[in-house]
Amino acid sequence: MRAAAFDYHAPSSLDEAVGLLAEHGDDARVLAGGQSLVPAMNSRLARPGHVIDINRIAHAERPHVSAGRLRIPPLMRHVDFDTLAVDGPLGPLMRDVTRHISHLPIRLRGTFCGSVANADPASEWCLATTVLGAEMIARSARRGVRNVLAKAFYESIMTTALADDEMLVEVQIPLLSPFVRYGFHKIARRSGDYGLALCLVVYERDEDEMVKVRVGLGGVEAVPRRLGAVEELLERRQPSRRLFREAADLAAEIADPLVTADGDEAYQRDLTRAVVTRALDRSLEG
Amino acid sequence: MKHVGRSHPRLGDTPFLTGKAGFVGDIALVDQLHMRVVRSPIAFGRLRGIDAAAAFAVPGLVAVWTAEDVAALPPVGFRLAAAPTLEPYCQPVLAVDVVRYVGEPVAVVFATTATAAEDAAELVALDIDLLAPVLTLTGSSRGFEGETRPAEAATVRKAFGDLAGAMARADRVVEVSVGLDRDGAVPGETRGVVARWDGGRDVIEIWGDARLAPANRDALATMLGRPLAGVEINAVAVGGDFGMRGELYPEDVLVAYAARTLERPVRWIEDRREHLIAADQARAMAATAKAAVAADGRLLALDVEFAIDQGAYLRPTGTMVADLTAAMLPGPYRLEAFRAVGRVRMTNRTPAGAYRGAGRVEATFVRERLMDAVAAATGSPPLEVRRRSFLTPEEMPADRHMTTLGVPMTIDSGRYQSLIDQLTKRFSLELVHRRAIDRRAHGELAGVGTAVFVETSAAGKYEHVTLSVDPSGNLELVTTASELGQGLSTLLAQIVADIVGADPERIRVTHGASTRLGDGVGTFLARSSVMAGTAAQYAAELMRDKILAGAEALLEVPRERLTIHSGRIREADRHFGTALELADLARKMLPGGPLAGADGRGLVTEGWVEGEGMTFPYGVAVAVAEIDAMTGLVRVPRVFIGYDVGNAINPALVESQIATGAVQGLSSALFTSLDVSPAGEPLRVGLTDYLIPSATESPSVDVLITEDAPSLTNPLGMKGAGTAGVTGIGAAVAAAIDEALQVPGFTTHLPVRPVAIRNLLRKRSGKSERG
Ligand SMILES: Cc1cc2nc3c(=O)[nH]c(=O)nc-3n(C[C@H](O)[C@H](O)[C@H](O)COP(=O)(O)OP(=O)(O)OC[C@H]3O[C@@H](n4cnc5c(N)ncnc54)[C@H](O)[C@@H]3O)c2cc1C
Repeated sequence: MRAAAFDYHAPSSLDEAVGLLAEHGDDARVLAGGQSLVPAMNSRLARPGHVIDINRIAHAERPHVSAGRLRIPPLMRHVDFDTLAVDGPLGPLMRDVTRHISHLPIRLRGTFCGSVANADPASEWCLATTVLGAEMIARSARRGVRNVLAKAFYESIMTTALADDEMLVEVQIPLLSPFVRYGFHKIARRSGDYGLALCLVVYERDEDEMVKVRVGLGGVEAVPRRLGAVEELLERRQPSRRLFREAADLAAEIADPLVTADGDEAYQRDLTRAVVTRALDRSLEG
Repeated sequence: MKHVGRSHPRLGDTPFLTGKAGFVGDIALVDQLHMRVVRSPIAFGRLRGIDAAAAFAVPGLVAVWTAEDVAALPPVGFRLAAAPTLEPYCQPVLAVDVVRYVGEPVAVVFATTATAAEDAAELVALDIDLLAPVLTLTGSSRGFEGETRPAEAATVRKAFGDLAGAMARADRVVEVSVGLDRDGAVPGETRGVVARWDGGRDVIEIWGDARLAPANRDALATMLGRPLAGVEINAVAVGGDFGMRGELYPEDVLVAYAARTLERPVRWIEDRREHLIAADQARAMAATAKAAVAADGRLLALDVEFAIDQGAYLRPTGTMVADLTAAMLPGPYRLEAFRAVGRVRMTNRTPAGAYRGAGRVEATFVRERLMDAVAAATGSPPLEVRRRSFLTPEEMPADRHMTTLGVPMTIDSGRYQSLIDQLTKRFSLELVHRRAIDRRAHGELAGVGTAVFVETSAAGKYEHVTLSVDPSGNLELVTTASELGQGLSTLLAQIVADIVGADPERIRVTHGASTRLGDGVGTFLARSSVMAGTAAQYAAELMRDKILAGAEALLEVPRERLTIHSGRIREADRHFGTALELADLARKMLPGGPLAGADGRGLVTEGWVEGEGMTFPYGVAVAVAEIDAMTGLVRVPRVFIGYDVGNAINPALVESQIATGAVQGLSSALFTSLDVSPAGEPLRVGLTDYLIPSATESPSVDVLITEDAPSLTNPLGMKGAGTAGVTGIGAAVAAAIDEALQVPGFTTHLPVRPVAIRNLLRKRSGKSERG
């Protein structure tokens, strides 16, 4: 359980970091919080020849808001969302979600951008970025900066649209209207485990009706996904238990589950129904 | 003040709390080499060749060994239950010609750093022809391609009474088929061993788990062809043993042999992945059990066939688990006839050994599931079914008409119904039951389950301790039994303190050092407190005599008028003034001196106990289960355990043994299993896949300790407690789940899989929708 030999680089600027990525390409890996990369290296499932530790890059911890977006830099840790990162409903939403990620020691080190780049199907942040319509800012030394929408960013299990020489330098999340309600739920075997299933629901209240409904499912499929048909079913309807059950049944029906050691397809559909029901129920609380 | 019976704080915890305790991983010797094991990635195959050439390119590599290099070493033998027919099932220290499980040691590399060793080990290429692996008990009757050893290594048979007659007279016969999946102890600290050959003394010094130091020293000396004095095992602090650690493994032999052969210290620290694929596993078994029930609901007979998934080799415990499983099947019940047939089946899985509660967990699960089935079949409450068939106190001691581990089984004492009654009253279990009924009425899936179990402890032929007082008045007790965190040192100090009249803090307990040990066996089967405790009692009584004799001579006061308290000898009728300090007396009684005592040894005594038979403590486990209907996930918020320990020397220690055991039992019932793929590759290779419950998932455990049935086998009436917590939980949780689902007999296997619960509920809701 000791990593294979690698060259260690500790750039002090983004320029330097993307320069190193350009030089070493697919033989290099960015080291952010190390909570996924280091275990993978220790078990020798990952054996990069070059590790580019970005932790010495200045001014990469604190988020800021501009042009109606929360802009999250590469060294913002999970725990940094524990205090409200932004005004309006987005702050509490991010706080509620981050508290489900693993345990405190891991939240102290693990980064938001690292989770996004790692693209675990059950990652809280991969689901949240998908539902919230985030944009990922990728940068390479040769081609400069490009924006990728969350929808296009997650390609398959642990695979993103980032090229080998690209670094994720920022994630931008549009702020939420003050009328937004949300509900998040995670089903896990133990507290702190990656979820078996996750659901994030976000909508606005217009009088008694739900509008701009977004329902995202994580953990069940290869990548987190918004469930369009479920959103349509809920759009411009009044919330009710009965409607939520109907929506959850539909979600269970249209999900395209992965089959795992712990659950066959039917079970994954059951989990989907449960997690969607509970996230919807939760949206009415508080 | 009396110390026995008090929850004296544990002695010797400070080093653990302050980070001073030395574990095997803390040992670093000058010039040491690191060993890394090259393990088979294949579950079953013919080993065609090993090419280590590439490994030699790694800087720091010193040696690569394969089976040829260790041809002088015999396979790892038996500590218990040996028989010549079992020899073909012993594991060679490195695989010869055939690999039989994923994780089997095939080669070892030695290098100057651990990383170099790991790098080099990766480069050792194995050429293996695949054979079809046998991975399940059902598969194992089919046999193995090309193997000459039969697939069934041994068959354990135990019986008494007229089974056919009882079956014929029965009003009904109830049958269940149940089983347990593979699990393991998986302690916080993985295995490890360090060895050095001291050329000046020609001694191989070993540091590691010393639970079985004397037996392992003897076995190693024999394997390495040395005198017993040429091998020393030194105890280090251990982060969890549970029966998995401490037994001799191929790695232990390799490290010791390499230290001698390479003439450099050698160190091996197992990593977590290795641990989960190569350390002893346990529990996997399947059973078909029949109960003959009389018209009045009493049990007449049990007839059980079971098979144990032994894995690829037999371990030093031989067929112990099968033997104990068979013997413990009758449990607390009166039977006219009994038959158990236990098959020890080989598979291409990691070898199975002993794990906390070995044999008792398995037997309890089978029997108590059967008792619940009897309750369902006869329409009687589960506790009523049990009450009808308990052996009564009047029937004690009860001869079980069979032997286990070569010892005749006589249940020494037990008041089973009384324990259930006390537990029910103490924790208002009626209310707990009523609450579950109420919750079910509101549509929740909640239930309560109960299991009754009989434990066994103190098997093992003898135990020896030495007690001495040094010239400063400190006492030292040297024992072969080992402190593995269970609190044995505290318990022994309490026993000695009361008898000698010393403070427990002044008594140092030295354990597990094979150089200083007399004859002892070590720690297993919850035997230490009983065996070493009794030996300590004897040594302390002799010590008290010696002290009083010395004081009598010195003070010229008859010993009847002397008392010893906190290391001070006083005249009993005087309230003030110390007549003599123990330290002063010890100095005057130095060996060879005028007061050295009849044996001339001064304040040194010995205690010796010999095969005083087994004790049979017993308990009741009650679990509450709640099921999330939508996900099939089970939560066990509360567990209640009643346990009769005969004499609770230190109630807090007994309670902590029980509570921790309960969590381990819950883990195997709901969370952990060591599954493999269809090709035999382990699927749980890290602690993110092997789901040990955390504090959040652990139940609150309420414990009632009683002392209603002291053992007749030892003067203090003690019974062991090391495994009590784990034994009944699985069966109790299974029963609670059945009740929550209102489907008697649903839970036939542990761990309970949420998928299985959902399959049931889905079928049920489908029916109700249609109907
Ligand atoms: C026991 C345990 C439980 C966990 N439970 C959860 C959980 O419940 N939910 C959850 O979401 N996560 C969980 N995690 C993962 C954790 O959240 C990680 O922190 C996260 O996945 C990765 O973030 P990191 O900063 O540690 O990234 P690292 O481990 O440093 O990197 C992860 C990957 O992303 C790449 N990378 C990192 N930053 C960048 C960047 N800026 N640009 C390009 N590539 C980059 C790395 O090269 C690497 O491939 C758990 C981890 C552990 C060890």
